[in-house]
Amino acid sequence: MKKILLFIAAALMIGGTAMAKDDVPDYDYELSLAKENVAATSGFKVFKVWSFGKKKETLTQEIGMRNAIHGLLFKGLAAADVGSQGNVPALVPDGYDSHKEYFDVFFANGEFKQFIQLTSRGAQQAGDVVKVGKKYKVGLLVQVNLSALRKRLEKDGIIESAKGMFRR
Amino acid sequence: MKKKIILFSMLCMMAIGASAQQAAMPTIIVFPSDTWMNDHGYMDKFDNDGETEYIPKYNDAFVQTREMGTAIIAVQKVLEERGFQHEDLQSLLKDMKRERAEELANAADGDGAEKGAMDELMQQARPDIRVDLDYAVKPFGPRKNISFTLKAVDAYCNDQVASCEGTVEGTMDPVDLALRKVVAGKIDDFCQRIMDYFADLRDNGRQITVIFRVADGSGIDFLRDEIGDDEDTYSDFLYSWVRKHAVNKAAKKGRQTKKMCEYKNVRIPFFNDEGDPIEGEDWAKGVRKAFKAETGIKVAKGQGNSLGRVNFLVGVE
Repeated sequence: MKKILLFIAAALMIGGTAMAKDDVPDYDYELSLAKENVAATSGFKVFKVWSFGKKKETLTQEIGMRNAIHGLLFKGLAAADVGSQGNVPALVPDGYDSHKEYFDVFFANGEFKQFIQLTSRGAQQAGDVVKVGKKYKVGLLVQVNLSALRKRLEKDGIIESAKGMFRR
Repeated sequence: MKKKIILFSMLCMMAIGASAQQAAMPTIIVFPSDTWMNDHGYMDKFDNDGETEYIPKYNDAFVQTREMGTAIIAVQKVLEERGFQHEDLQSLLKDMKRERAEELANAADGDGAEKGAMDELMQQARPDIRVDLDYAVKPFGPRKNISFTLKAVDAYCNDQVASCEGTVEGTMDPVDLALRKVVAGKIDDFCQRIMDYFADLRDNGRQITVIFRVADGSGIDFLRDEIGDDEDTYSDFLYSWVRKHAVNKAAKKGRQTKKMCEYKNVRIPFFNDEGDPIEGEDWAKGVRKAFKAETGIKVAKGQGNSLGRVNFLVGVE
């Protein structure tokens, strides 16, 4: 009897973890830089991240923040208003797999959160949750401390600093 | 025992850290562009044999306007944060003024040092990478359009390193705030281009210009005088030396006259065979010995050498 109970418990646990994995949405997002959200100081970027997922409950603020940092690291940010804003090139253009172990830890233990904050405590406006086809699209306005993020990556040897290029 | 091992390994790590060599980085200086200086009346014009020459009055520009200073500071702040080596033009100008005052005081005391034309030239601000900042404001009613450009050029080979431009439309912001915003918006891409340029220098060598000039009264002709019997002229010999010692033999001929030989885009390594950081002057040292060994003619170091420009005077007594 005990064995059966144990078996059921184990099966439930396995099922549970599988469910949890399913519930974490993929890196499916868009970043957009809008004219009204310009930071007047260098080193910070204010932009909107749109996360996509099947269930809107899974598209939490944390997932939005994760996607925002992922985007700045590997994809860069294209400026919507080309007049006064420029593109932000990807910090690690070689991609996630170039330092997979490092980024696995970086995203799994939530370290990325120290470089990002929500603006207006993540309050969403009308039109920030939209159903597109079979997926939901959830928008979040965030502010990223780009210069601190860059410094961290330089310190950890993921990207090169200007001084580092002339050193050996 | 464990403590000793940890201490020893820490010492080893410190030794490795200390032995890391830092080669000289190109210095960046941000200038107001010539067009801006002219638009705002900070250019002196004079006629030089029918050709109009312009002399910028940077001191006046910095004292009399606020916005250009703010924009330059905004750019420099980012250069600083990104770890680029840069100098502040305004401070350089003040330094020069102080030096001039000291010289005048010395001269008044009767201890004036003799000052040549080259010293005057050396006193000018000489960046390795020159960044020109330009903006123009066009008001309409309470609003204004601001166009903005930023351009970085390698001062030795005149290669454009990076540039960005943009227009702020119909803003009601004060000019300095609008400029700060546009700098903050554009600068990431701009800095990335400079980093790409630096990466190219690291991989393919620093670009320098090497110039050989004939000393007055030596009677040397670079294009006709030959070395030994193999019919190689002096200019051929110098070119082959420069190419042989350049990274990937990258060098191209510039102006070649009987009195001057110039080699441009010469790619030199950052470090010598011993792993010590070197600059253009150290790298080109060998050519003096080689030329003297072949011809018996003495080659002296010229004046005005810098990170990317090396001058030699051939045939000095």
